[in-house]
Amino acid sequence: MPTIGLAGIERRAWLSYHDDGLMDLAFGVLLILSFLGSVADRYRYAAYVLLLLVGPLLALAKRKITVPRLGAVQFSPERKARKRHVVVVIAGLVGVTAVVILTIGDQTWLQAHPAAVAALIAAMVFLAFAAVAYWMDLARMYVVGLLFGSAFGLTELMDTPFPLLAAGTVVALSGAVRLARFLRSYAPTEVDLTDAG
Amino acid sequence: MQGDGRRAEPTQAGLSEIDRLIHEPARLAILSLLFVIESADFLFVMRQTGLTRGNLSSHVSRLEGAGYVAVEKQFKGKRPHTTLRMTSEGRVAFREYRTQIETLLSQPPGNADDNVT
Repeated sequence: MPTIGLAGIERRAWLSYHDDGLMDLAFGVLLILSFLGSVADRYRYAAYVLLLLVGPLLALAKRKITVPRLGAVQFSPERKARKRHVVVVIAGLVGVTAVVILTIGDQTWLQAHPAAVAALIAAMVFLAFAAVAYWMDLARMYVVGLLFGSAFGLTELMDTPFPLLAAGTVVALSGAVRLARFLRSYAPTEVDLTDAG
Repeated sequence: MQGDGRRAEPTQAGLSEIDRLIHEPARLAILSLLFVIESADFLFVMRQTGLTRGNLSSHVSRLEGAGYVAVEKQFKGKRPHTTLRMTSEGRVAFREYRTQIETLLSQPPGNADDNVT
């Protein structure tokens, strides 16, 4: 007999709200656009502009796709505090990376140690996703972080942007599959107490 | 829960003190969800509890009548939109219900757990 406590009820609600695949799709598209920005000379800036639009588009998609099907919810202040943790950690990681680079400050050293630079980039990228996975309780973000970290690390190490395309495609496809499953499970509904029978 | 913070000791007679409004499974599911979040709209509660529209509507009306749930109706464009939130009175009642149930089921006598027919 399945049993679920109050914590389980809250977690199930949280996970179902983030099980639409939109975040994964957005991260995959981010990587693919990064790849396009690297290879498309002529359209490089268009790709970078699109990169900036991924965040707002994700928020819009959440409102237009998820909410009409699953409903709207405000989670507890604890959940919101955990989101703030993620922002702080990511800002910290960006700061640490900047300090490390500025401390080394020597372009020739950086060019002479591509493996160390690649490992640093991969670690920082992975840690950012690990923060998302841990504090936002989304375990699959560890895997996305591994793919992201590997992609950026390998791109730096091999001096080719194709790892970005490969990882981006995998992440975007997994998001698309999740989204398709979500759309199949939940039809858009416009119910309200006022029209309840 | 008694006023001095001690746990109530429900007896057979104490069973009748359990809040029947909360004890009904559908309403318990609604309140359990609203207890752990800040607020949700009607559709979200319907999806999470698995209740039908009419069923949820009637249970929410009863909970609203008891003052356990606040129902806020707004218009989003031309469509009505209903947000549900547990009131502080509802939170107190729900906590008291949890205490009563936990106390009631926590201590079976002797080897009652081993009695299998």
